[in-house]
Amino acid sequence: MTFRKQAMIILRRDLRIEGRSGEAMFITVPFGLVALFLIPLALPLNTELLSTIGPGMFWVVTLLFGMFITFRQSAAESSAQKEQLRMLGVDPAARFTGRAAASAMLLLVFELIVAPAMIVLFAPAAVPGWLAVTPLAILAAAGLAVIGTLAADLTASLRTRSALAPLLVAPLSVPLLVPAAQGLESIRTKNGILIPALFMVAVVLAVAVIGVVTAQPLEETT
Amino acid sequence: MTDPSVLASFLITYVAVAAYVATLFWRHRKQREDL
Amino acid sequence: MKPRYALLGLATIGMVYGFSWASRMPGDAVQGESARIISVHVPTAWLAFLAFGMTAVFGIAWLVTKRAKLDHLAAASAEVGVLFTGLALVTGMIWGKATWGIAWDWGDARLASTAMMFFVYLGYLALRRATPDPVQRARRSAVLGAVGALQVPLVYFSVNIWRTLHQTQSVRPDGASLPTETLISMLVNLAAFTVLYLGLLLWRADQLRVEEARLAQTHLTPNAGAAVVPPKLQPGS
Repeated sequence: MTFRKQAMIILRRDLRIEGRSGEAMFITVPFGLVALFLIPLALPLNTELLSTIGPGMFWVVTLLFGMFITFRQSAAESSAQKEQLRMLGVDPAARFTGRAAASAMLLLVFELIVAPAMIVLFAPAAVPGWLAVTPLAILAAAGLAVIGTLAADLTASLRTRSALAPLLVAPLSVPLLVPAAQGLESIRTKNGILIPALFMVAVVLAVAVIGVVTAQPLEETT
Repeated sequence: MTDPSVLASFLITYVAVAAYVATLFWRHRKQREDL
Repeated sequence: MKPRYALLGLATIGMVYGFSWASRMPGDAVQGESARIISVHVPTAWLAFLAFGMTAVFGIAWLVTKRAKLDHLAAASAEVGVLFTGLALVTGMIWGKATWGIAWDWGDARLASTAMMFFVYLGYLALRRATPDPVQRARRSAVLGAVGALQVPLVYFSVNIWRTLHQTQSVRPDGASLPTETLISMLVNLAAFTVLYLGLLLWRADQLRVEEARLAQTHLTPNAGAAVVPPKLQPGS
């Protein structure tokens, strides 16, 4: 069975489990929406201020709250399950890839729900051609997925995992946040999103390579 | 050298380093005791 | 005498000498007296990044050779690195406030990447503290160290490309256009702090080696405690 086929099976399995448990959709997405609500409540009543920070808040919420999608229970495997996969001959790198791909898809759904919410709540000024930000959103989802999956592997079976994994992901996702947040600004100044997008592609690829290469060593029986 | 920000910077640096050395020394003593 | 004590002794002498140079160097025409701060700020910042890089290097070396000493050096470098990163940030903020009136410049790529590195360090140390098994700990921290070493320069570049466009990069002297005494002061302190780093690194790494050896001896396996089982309570009883 090829690497690609193994990764696809893992991807489908993860999405199926998520479909049954609904952790990402019914827990993490509402969590992100609540966060979006908290922000204006803490700020002075100033619609101009809100419309300025709106897009930025979308990216921050996506990163800080979306990362929990990568740590979801349905993605965590007990050491017994990992052992079973290993005995079935599943390449750990394929497992990593499949899981990251599933997380990326779920993160896209997260963004698809949070983005309109942000537009409604913050009323950002319309920028012609704002849809061009979409590639950046896809890359942000992919990048956060690989970083989060790697962090989840690093903190697997640790008791403090629920706080430690977010702590690890947050600073590592800054190289995604800065170019993504730049998106609308680039569109407005007619500079285009090519350079931010390429930068994000580089980040995603670099972390993905590390994740794939270290998947085998990180696979342990403990 | 009497500028307060300069004094603060140097003092904080030296004190922090000394404090870290002190913790190393304390740990060293503890390890010796545990023998 | 163990090399670490010799290094620390040398470092102390170097830092005293460096302090004398820092007092002697002239104040800057633009910045005034606060220019002296570079005598501690530049060395601590340089060491912060050096220690971070060495953490990654030692970690990768461990992944290749599996020699425990390399893991201890990586962890020790991270600890010492956190200290220097914190100092670099604090002295940088004091300097910024004294010279330009702002403690934190959001357009400065160096500040942003130093701060992010600080958090990656903290995460690294937290991960180590949370992982009881030594081999697992070494392996996981090595991977985190490598990812961190990749991401921090990327933070620097991303902030540099997109957030310093409209701001004049605050003039922090890092060129040969400095007066000689300032340059000497900076270099003497740089050398002294580097020797300090080496001394602290070796000492801490050795302590970690002893700690790990001790823990390995205590045989933390479940035995008698496993016999204690909570009572099974029936509902309504």
